[in-house]
Amino acid sequence: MNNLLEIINLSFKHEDKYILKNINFKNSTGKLTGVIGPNGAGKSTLFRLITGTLNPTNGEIIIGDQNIANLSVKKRSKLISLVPQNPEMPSDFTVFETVLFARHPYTNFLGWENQKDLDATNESLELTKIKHLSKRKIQTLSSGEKQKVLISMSVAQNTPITLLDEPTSNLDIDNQILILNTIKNLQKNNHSFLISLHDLNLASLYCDELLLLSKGEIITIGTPKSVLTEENIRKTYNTEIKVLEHPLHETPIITPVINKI
Amino acid sequence: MIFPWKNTILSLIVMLAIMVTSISIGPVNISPIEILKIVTYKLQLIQIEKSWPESFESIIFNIRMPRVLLAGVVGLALSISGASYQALFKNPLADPYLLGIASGAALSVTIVMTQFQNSHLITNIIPISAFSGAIVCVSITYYISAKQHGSVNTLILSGIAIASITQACTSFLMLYSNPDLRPLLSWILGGFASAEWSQILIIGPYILISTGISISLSKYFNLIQLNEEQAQQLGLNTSKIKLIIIINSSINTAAAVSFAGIIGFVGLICPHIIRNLFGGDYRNLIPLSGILGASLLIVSDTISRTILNPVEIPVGILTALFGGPFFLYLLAKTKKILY
Repeated sequence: MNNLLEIINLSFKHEDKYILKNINFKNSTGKLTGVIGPNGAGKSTLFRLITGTLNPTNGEIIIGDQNIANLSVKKRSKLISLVPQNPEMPSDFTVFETVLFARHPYTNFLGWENQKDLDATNESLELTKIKHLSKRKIQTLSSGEKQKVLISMSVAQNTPITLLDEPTSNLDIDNQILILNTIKNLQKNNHSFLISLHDLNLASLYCDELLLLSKGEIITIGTPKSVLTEENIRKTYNTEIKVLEHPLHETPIITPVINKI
Repeated sequence: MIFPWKNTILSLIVMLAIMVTSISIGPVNISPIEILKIVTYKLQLIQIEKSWPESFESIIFNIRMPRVLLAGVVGLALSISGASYQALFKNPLADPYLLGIASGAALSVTIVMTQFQNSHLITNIIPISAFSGAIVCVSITYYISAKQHGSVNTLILSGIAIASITQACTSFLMLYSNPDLRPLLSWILGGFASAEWSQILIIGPYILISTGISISLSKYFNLIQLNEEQAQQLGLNTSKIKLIIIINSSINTAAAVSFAGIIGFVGLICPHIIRNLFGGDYRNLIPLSGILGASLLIVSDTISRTILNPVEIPVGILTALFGGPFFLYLLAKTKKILY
């Protein structure tokens, strides 16, 4: 497998405080990597550094064989797409028009799309199974449907790597599963994902690999089984938990230990 | 999505019909066919025998045509700058009048008109001074609104505050510097009674260039409706686009205010109607609301000069009378239409 994303000695400092420190990490083609860690661990900052919204204090981010610091904003937007945590979508646009926004990196300097862009949009609506919503306005969609539109946008953007920042927060379990299944399906097309998740059980179930962050540093990287141990979780989340085994998938399940009152 | 040629051409034809009809209406009625004949005769497109009194030509070319054209370009400018400000503020209630931008431009023009009364350069200075007033006001509103994360209340309230301050200054200047207030007052109230070809020649180029820029950048207006991070990772330089919108729309507003005074609500109503008919895509919204704005203002001006003939009502009063209630209606259902 090729190394698609390589992060070398990445650090980010804000007002003399390290938000991220010495991050080293490689992600290969077609992998779904979960980024987990308590609030304030630096997950969103890591994503912002990769998309180029923030500039690192130290270190390099390489995608394929290109250092993203040397790329123009437009070139970068053909390599990385992002499903943000707090998106805004104009409510009086249709789903089709919104997904078409994502073709912007491929349009001419006035931003007009051609037939290829329309085809790519249709294809991504089909892949994410929301073709039937094409003509609906964003304001009429449910939270789960909106999240699918965002994922469809990242597919239409046609980048080898997609970052998803908490794509399942604020969703009920049915929609959480729906979104993660959609992502898992897309992964079959050799698309790589970096996904930050609060829910450790979902991370354990869906991700090929987990990256545990705490206080801006990587605690460990590996398979869900090797990362989600009682000791690791206790150390980073400061919480007593028990690790069980999923009855069907043999992946770890985390359950908190509480004192009965 | 390609440029909405069909809708644009259809609405342009309707607008032309409105223009000819407006020119035909007045104390002396000249039939639209006669107008077309006279224009063809003047342009020497084909040989036509002259069958109309000399005075008709003078009425058409010296009085009504410049007036209708000025109303048209001002309507176009106000409507397009309204739609652009709505894109910038991500808020369908933005409008050059409500945001206090037009009042800011009017204050600058009042300063020039009261301080340099005898200068023969005054008509050329007016658009530039209007622009400086507009850009200062929009920057203040944008700064305050951005600090409050684009809250609707903040936007409208800061617009009201800026309009009050600038209007107070304008009134003060008018009372203390000019013994005959009527020309200034009728200009402030908004109207085309003193329309001249020279005014069209001065503001026309500003408005046409600025309209061209708005239409060609309308795709980017769509993208800035996403949040900053989303737009940036799609490869858009958001701060550059926002700066262009601020400058470009302020040029449009300033050009409109320069010779037509303060005409409210055109920039609010037209984009709203187009949005309801054709959706929120700014590539439709910008050209179509521009054409609608031009048509609407030509109709309003025709009503304002004929309804109480021989007395003229300033067109600004008319648009406020109809636009005010419309704005209240929008405010009442604002939750539904907000982005």
